[in-house]
Amino acid sequence: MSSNINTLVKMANDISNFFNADPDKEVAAEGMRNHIVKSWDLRMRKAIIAHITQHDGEGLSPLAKTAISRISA
Amino acid sequence: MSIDKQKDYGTPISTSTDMVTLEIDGFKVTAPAGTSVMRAASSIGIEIPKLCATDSVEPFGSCRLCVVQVEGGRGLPASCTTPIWEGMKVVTQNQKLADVRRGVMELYISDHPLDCLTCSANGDCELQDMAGAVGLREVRYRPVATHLNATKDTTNPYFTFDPSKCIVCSRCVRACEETQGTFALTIDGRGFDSKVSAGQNESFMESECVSCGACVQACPTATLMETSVIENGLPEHAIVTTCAYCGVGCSFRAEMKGEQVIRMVPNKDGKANHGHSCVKGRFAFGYATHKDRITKPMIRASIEDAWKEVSWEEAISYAASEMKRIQAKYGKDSIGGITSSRCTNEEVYIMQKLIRAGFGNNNVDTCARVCHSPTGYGLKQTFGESSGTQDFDSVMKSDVILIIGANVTDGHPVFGSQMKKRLRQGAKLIVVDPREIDIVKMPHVEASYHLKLRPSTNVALVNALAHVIVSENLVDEEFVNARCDVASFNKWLTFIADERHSPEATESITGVPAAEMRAAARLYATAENGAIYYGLGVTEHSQGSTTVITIANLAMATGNLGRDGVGVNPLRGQNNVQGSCDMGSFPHEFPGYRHVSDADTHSMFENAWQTNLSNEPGLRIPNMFDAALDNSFMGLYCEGEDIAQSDPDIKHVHAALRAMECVIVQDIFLNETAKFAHVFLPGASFLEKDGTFTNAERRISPVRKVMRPLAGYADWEITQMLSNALGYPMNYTHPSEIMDEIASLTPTFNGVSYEKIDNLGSIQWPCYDEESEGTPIMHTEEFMRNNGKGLFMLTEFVATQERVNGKFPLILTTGRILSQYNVGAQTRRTENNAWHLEDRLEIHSHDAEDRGIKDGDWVGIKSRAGETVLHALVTDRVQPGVVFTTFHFPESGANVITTDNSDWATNCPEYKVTAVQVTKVSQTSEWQEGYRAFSDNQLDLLAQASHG
Repeated sequence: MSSNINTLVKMANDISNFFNADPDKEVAAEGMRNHIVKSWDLRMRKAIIAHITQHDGEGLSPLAKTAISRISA
Repeated sequence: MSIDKQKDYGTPISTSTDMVTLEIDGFKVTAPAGTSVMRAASSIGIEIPKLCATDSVEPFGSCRLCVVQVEGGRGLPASCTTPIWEGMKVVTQNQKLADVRRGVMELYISDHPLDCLTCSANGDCELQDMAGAVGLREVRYRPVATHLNATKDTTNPYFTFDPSKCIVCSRCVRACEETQGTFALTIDGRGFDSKVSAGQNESFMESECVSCGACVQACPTATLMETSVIENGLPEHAIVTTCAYCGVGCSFRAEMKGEQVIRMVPNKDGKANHGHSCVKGRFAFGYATHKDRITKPMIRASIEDAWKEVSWEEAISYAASEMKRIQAKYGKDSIGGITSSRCTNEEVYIMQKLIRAGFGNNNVDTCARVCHSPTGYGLKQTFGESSGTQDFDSVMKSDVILIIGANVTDGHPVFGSQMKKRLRQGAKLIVVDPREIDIVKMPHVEASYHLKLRPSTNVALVNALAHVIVSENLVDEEFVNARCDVASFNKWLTFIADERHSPEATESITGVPAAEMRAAARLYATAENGAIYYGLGVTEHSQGSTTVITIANLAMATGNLGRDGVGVNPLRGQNNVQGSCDMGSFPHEFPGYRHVSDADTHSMFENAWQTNLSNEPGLRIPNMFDAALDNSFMGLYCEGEDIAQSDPDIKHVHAALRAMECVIVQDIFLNETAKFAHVFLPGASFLEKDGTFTNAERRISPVRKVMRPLAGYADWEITQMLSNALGYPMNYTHPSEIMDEIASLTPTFNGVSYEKIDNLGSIQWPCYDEESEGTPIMHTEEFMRNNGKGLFMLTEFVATQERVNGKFPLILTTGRILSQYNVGAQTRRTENNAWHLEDRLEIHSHDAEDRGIKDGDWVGIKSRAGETVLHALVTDRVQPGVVFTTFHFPESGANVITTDNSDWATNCPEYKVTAVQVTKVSQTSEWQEGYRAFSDNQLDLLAQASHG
């Protein structure tokens, strides 16, 4: 992975750590998805989505993977 | 324009609502109960002679000049210490009173140098005025001993203490106690030997004096006098403006001689500072005319080249052509801009407008990214608005004050003094901080609890406080049911009641004894009015936003919102952090915190700005750096911000700046970022332009031009020129027009105008319409969320990834100091260096001893990100295992060590937690050697410009 994708994976996992507090994982995933859509630049979103499609989201937490999979770039 | 001295009523205003009517010299006067006779007389224009009385401190009754006669009363009471009563009849002037006053003045003058014509206070001396007022014509006394040869104390760089002119009125001593709360001054000795003494008979600089200037302000003679007045004479006109340092936003009178600032005098009518000041705002304004100011635009093709001074037209044209070239080569989103909290609201507004409308993207960010962006996020989510809830004066109604991660007496000293005043009146204090900051224990102030937690464990600690409140039935259910989203509360209740959040379970995480956490929680929850104040010790963590949310949860659960004396109060770092965020300088929000994808808002701005706008969030500052190293972000316009010093993991920042093809810096000095720049646009200091700043209590205050811009243009004019050169027209003729546009497009600013600000002095948003005079306290009826209800959120503690281990066993945390400000670009160019000439590493004596380190030794501080070297300061202010430094000097390289860890929601850097090892060394670090060589070379390239 490039250093930039490493950064994005770390950012995504940090976000998932917050939303993971919700016992309702559907709410957690939607919360995380919305957060990324509302705060990440398009090129960052494209890169993390590509990381899922090309590298099966290596390094991403399960919640992060679920949430990002719901984003359409 | 004139100097128009502010009226002194002699004694403080009474806040009583009971009114009393009396008669003074035959005139009826009605005033609040508790008002002094002196003040009541002054309110109808009868000025009773006085020396020891001034309306900033409580009356003392020592000079006997203000004596009056009261019908039916005995003797001649001092009018300053005599309260009015119903039906009272007072005579302020008759022969008997005149004789007494003249006799008093004779005694004063018999031990006073008669050098009025050459005295620095000539024309501004109350003793001189009173001699005239009482008709003193001769002095019959020839004392055998006097104080006329007493030695001057010139140790303070900003003011001189000349005891030969002292009348021992104690105004300075009382100002130090009551206004500032430092208690550095006293009257030493008795009778003839009485004298004002700093500390234990020390010089002012050796004493605890913090150089706030309150004593100078209170002195009625030339005893305590600004050095600038001694050197230049008295000012001839004054203009009210707002300080450009911290988020308190003190109002000042810039007292001028022509275009020269003679002194900055705190404005008694200032609603944030009530006539008080600190060493920065009061005295450290000399940077504005420092020889390092750059006043000519400059350009260069490469940062290896010498700078070339050019005309404004050429500089702007070059900058615009470079930005266009980069967009043509790398795409529309390949450029962006960074604004600063040091800019005015109007400057920030048109900067983000230029980027959104002129650049065509949303790549705009501000330095709030690295300080209070978690406040914006956390409070928006829970309360519905990205701001604190109270005004500063609210603290005077607080019964329990909970400070979390804020060194209030150093970071926000004027508000710190107000808070200390409330604490001296009896309010209780809880401090949550890894360090023993000053307010934990100082004269007449002592915290009930100092929860000395391990850095990075804020969430665990505040969750534990909330757990106690829930498990001990201390929740304000009435408030929660009426004002909050009950479903979210119930979910939170289940979450926080879990045993894993109990003080006992989290003690091993926080390092704070469970019993202390329980007791502190009870104290806060059972207070009639409990208020929370917090600072960067909350936000600059990987869980910064989570901690802000825990604080909001805590305040809602205890009903401490929506009235005087309570609230959630973020203490903003810089002067215009609140304003720069309000003005839309975050990449995902238009002005007023509305998301760029919100269809109605987006459409409104497109219509107003007459252009297509992106509805995609842009890059945040750290993302800009990453994108630069990926060759997708190649041009930056940076105004008033020094990212090359202030941002974390500085080697990464420098690499990103080197990778960019055009860096435009607009600043007053060749700051660290400008050393990586290709275009330098010389900006204006706060003294050289009009505008507004918004302080930590949402107070919009006027910034007024007191001198012409040294480089010819105010910053808003420069941004406008660049916008026009880029093809997006802007035609403002005055910042008031920019504010009018802000008001027309931002609901919370709809009723704001320069006219209203001028009439009221300042105004706190929200201000929804023309009739509104602002909102001191928010959420009084309902929260600003769509449904009006406060939202509880779940806040799981997640340990930082920045872990200590055998290789990096200590935690470094960073902070600020009273005398220096932020990256130091301003204060390092003033005499404030007399207090703090270098950043030092505070280390506990146990850790120092383990490493053979003595006070003053060079120590290497090594983290996973880098290494730097500082002098050691061995102290027990920090706990074992924790070291601390400030970041005011670029050569210190504090941000060489800090990592790229950041807050999960906002990417605010985790400045407060870096695992390090500290060792004794004999020389500076490799980075520091490299920095010095690079910096020296850049200064040479600058010198070549001025010589070319």
